[in-house]
Formats: sequence, C-alpha cells, structure tokens
Amino acid sequence: MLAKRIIACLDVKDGVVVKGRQFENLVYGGDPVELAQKYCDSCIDELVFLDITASLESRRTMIHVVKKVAEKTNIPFTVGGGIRDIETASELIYAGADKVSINTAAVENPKLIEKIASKFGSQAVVVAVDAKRTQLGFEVFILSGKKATGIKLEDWLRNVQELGAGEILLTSIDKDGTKEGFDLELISLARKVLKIPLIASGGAGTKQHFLEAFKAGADAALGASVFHFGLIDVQDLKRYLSQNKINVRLDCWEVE
Amino acid sequence: MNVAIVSSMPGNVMNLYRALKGLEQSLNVELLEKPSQSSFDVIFLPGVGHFEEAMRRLGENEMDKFLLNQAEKSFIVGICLGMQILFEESEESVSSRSVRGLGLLEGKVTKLKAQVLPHVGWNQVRFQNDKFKDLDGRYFYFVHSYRVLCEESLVVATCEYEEEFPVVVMKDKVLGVQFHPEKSHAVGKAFLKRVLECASSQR
Repeated sequence: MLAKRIIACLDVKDGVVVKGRQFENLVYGGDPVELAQKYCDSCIDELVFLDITASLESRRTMIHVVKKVAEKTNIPFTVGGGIRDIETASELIYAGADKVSINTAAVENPKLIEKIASKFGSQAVVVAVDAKRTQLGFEVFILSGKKATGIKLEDWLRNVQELGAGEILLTSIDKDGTKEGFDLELISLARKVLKIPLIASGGAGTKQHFLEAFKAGADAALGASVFHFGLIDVQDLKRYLSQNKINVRLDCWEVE
Repeated sequence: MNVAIVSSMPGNVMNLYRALKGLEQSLNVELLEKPSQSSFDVIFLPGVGHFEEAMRRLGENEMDKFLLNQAEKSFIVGICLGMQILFEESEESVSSRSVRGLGLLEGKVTKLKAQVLPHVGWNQVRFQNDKFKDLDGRYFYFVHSYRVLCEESLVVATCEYEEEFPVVVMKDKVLGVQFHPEKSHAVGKAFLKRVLECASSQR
C-alpha cells in the first residue's frame, strides 16, 4: 500500500534556511545541505526547498544548493520560489531537482504548467497554491500571500489539473506558521476536486495535526519549523501515525 | 565492470550516475547518447516522462537499434519509463494509438486504474525472487501513471496501488524496475547492488 508522505520544507534565503510566520519575520534555521542529509537519515520521505528571495543573485546560490543536495542525498526533492519560465525550471531540474514548484507564475501564465509538463512530464510539476479564507470562500493568493487574485480555489485546482500539474502543494495562509494545525476544511475541499496527489501545508504543530491532515484526505503533509527546531521528531511522528493506522514508511535503515 | 547509462532519454541521468558511483568508486560509468563501439557489462536505460517521446528520442539517435543489438552481449536494465519501453507496446501516446516499444520483453503498458494519479510516493514492494529476499516488504519511491502487463514468469516483484502490478521484471539478460532505486535512500542502494550482482552472474 502507498505510504502517506511526510515532507520537510526548507525555506532558503541567500543560501541559508529560514522560517517565516505567515510569510514574514524570518528566523535563521541552518545550512540547507546539512539539514537535507539529516532529514534523509531520519526517515523523511521528501524535501522541498523554497527560494524565498529569488533575486537573480540568490538564484545562482540556489542552483549551487540544488547541486549539492542532489549529490549528498538520495530521496526526491522539489525546488520552488520565483520560477517564472521554462529556462529556470530546466536549469533547476538539470541541477538535480526531481520536481519544480510554481506558484505566482502559474497564475500569471498558466501555460508554464503545460510547458514544463510536456518537457519533463507531469510528475516534475508541483503547483503550489496559497489559499486564504475570504468572502469568495477559499481564495487563491500570489506573491508570497500578499496579493489576492479573485480566483476561487476550486476553479484554480481544476484548471491546473487540466493543464498537467502532477501534484498540488496547498498552503493555508491563515494557518501557516501558527502551529495550530492544518486547515482541515481546506484539505477536504481540495481532495474532493483533485484527481492528483495533494500535499497539505501550513499549521503543523503537533503529531496529531498530521494525523488529522491525512484523515482529511491529504496524500502528504508538510512541516518546516516543527522539524527544524526539533519540536517533532520524524521517526517518532511516523511511529505515532502508524499506531493510528496510517500507512507510513518507517524502514529507512541500511540493508546489510 | 563497465557500465553505461543511456542519456538520450528525458530524465535526470545524473542522479542514477551518482547512485552507481556511490556504490563502488571503481565502477566505470559512461553516459551514452549515441551508439558506441565499446562493450558494456550493463546498460542502464533510465527515463521519466512520456513513452512516445522517449521512443522518438531513442530513434533519433539510433539508440533503439543499438540497444536491440546489445541485448545479446550486455545486461540491460530499464528504470521507470526505461522499464516500460523494454516491452512491446504502450497506450501512452499523443495520437491515442498504441506506440511500439523496444520489444525486448513480451507484454504491454497500460494506464493504472487508480483514482489519484500519478502514483507518487513510497510503496511497499513484495519480492518473489530469492536474490532480492532481504528487500521483501521494504518501501521504494515511485512516480508513474502507467504499468506493465506481462506474463507471470517475468515478474520478480509486485506492488499494490488499488491494483497489483509488476514492479520488477527479469528475463535472461534484461531487467526492468518501475520504482526509482536512485531515489529510494538506503534500500534503493541495496537494490542497485543486487542488480549489479545479477549482471555479473550473467556475464
């Protein structure tokens, strides 16, 4: 049976890991390559690196980080943040990223989803969607959660799925950084609409929050500071999930 | 041991390259874009993306003919899409007609029946073959929407995602694997080691 995935997200700014609360107030967290290796050995299923500055200069730094991570780890990882064209996406994939995640650019130029999917396959395209509760219900936001788009979440999800997205990384802006738990209503709404895998993000604070996210229909759940600062140990979390009848991969040890 | 990785296919060849070099520094690993006169003990055929596109790219470089010629001499290992194109035909085409594969193994490729596709993530693999016995029940990383349909006699391992399907197949000097050993952490490494052992026992 397919295991539910636990994903660690590393927000990278100028080559170091930082963690934002509701996308602001950045706190230093560590060296991305070192952290990636540590996670790899602690049974994490996947990694996501978000380049949260994505200036031209930090892009070069990011490519260097991606190369290093690909060299030092052997689990799948996604890179996102500021990817606006097929050239940048290609460069990151050639540097070793298994998938790229696009957010603002997907809204501004939905054709980009198709372009990346037809060059590298749908599995290489993660569409990151930041959603917030507004009078529209759940509304899609772009530019790191700063700009409302007027697009209803359900419409956008159907659209990107049609265009060839391989997975959705859905972040609740309301919950992000709060450690109050994932937005379960958001997860179950998205699950109803989607025929592709759903990664839930934003709000992880306890082990129980992960259990709730999976029960609400997430295929994978993402955490950042809870892992970086050791609030939750990945193996401990997986044992807890397993005891609660969630199928997870616990056997990351070496084979003789 | 001389090893080649076919690099004319879409997909990240370097991940496999690093995984193989990580097994054994002394392994001679070459990237092969065009047919070569050198002889190889093992040829890896990696690949992600689209079946029809992959066959087109192989054809462009005449790598399809090369691989068929090599099949007698080298041990051929297809990974993910690389495994699927070892078979005779696939449903995965732009024109919705079936597309011919290399036909090194008998069988065809069809779409998975599951509600949620692609099949992404770590899934438990059941090995029927003694060679891989210690890996039985371990989790490997998958990313695909199509599966292989073939005779039971080829199947070395299976996995379940709303249906049971073959994930490792082997016949004589041809081996195919649906998951990504190069992305499957420690168990993936152990699997690749076994594959090289299979290859040397066939030399």
